[in-house]
Amino acid sequence: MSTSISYDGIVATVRDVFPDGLIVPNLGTNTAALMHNGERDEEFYMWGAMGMVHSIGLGLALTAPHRTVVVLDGDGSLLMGMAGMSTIGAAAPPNLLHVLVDNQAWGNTGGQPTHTARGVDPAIVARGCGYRVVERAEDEATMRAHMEEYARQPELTFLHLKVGFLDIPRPPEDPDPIGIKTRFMRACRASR
Amino acid sequence: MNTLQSTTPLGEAVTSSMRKNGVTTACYVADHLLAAICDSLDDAPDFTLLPVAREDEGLGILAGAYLAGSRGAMLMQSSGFALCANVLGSLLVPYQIPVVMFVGLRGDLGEFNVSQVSVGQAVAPTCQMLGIPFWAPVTLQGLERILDGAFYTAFSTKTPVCIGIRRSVTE
Repeated sequence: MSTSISYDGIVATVRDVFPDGLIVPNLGTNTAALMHNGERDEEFYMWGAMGMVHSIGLGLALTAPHRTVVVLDGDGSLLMGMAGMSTIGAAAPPNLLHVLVDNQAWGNTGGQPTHTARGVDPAIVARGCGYRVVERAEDEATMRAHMEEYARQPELTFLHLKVGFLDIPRPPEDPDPIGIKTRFMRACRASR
Repeated sequence: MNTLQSTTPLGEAVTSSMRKNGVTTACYVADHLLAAICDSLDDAPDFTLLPVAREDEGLGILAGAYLAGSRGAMLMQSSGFALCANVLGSLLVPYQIPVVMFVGLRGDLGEFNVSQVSVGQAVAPTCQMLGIPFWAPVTLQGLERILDGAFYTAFSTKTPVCIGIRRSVTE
């Protein structure tokens, strides 16, 4: 029996399956989880613009069609920016993997429940918006299997991960947005 | 494709300046003041023109495009600009990500709809408060004089800038 999904498990799996991928985490828990596990140039750490992370991923995917773009979204962020899913579905870049890390709460503000805690299902929205593949995972083995399947056969994919609320990483302090951007742009330019 | 509309002086001026300044991507939410610009870009095979659902989302997409090496412009109405304060103030400004915004200014001379007045009048002071350069020439000739400078300043200083498009420029 595989273990339930942890933030450290998500970070390790994404970095392992997509070693050259461009990774864009939403502000809050996903940015904190990645930075907590050591910063990498290929990751664009967000410190603002809630609800925008998947749209940034779309711009990256369309402009760098030869690169795999992995968006690590949160449920609060995605609910805020849901309109952006329709533009992603309409454009349907195959090199975009949109991962929703759904802890059913606003994780950075004390764990107040979001609408996904009351049954709202973003995966159905993704299907309605035209994502080519929509998958779910609640354990790490299934999560890895879906990511590896995407890597083998990339099509615009929405991967809905259900996680617990207990293991939220502490966010680092003193963000350096210009340094984050400069290093990420260098990684984008590097030939792969 | 509408080749008649593509030859309007406004559309031609903006498209030509974008091309000269290396801008290759534009997002838009439809606005009649900007329709000539959209038509001109739509007719140009060397531009990627992407309709979006919300204006702040368009700025997010263009931020991603810039990170991957493509310069962008956002076309929107003043009411949609009002959705953009957070993405401007918490992403484009602090990360120094330039985008040139073309904002159709409703709520100006000749406006009939009271719901457009406050938000249209809020564009200039919003830009000022965010430290975003803003220009809104009254004539097409005035617009043509600032276009190249606006693009150059945006991308050389890595600052988002805003060009208000008044009805008088489109007539």
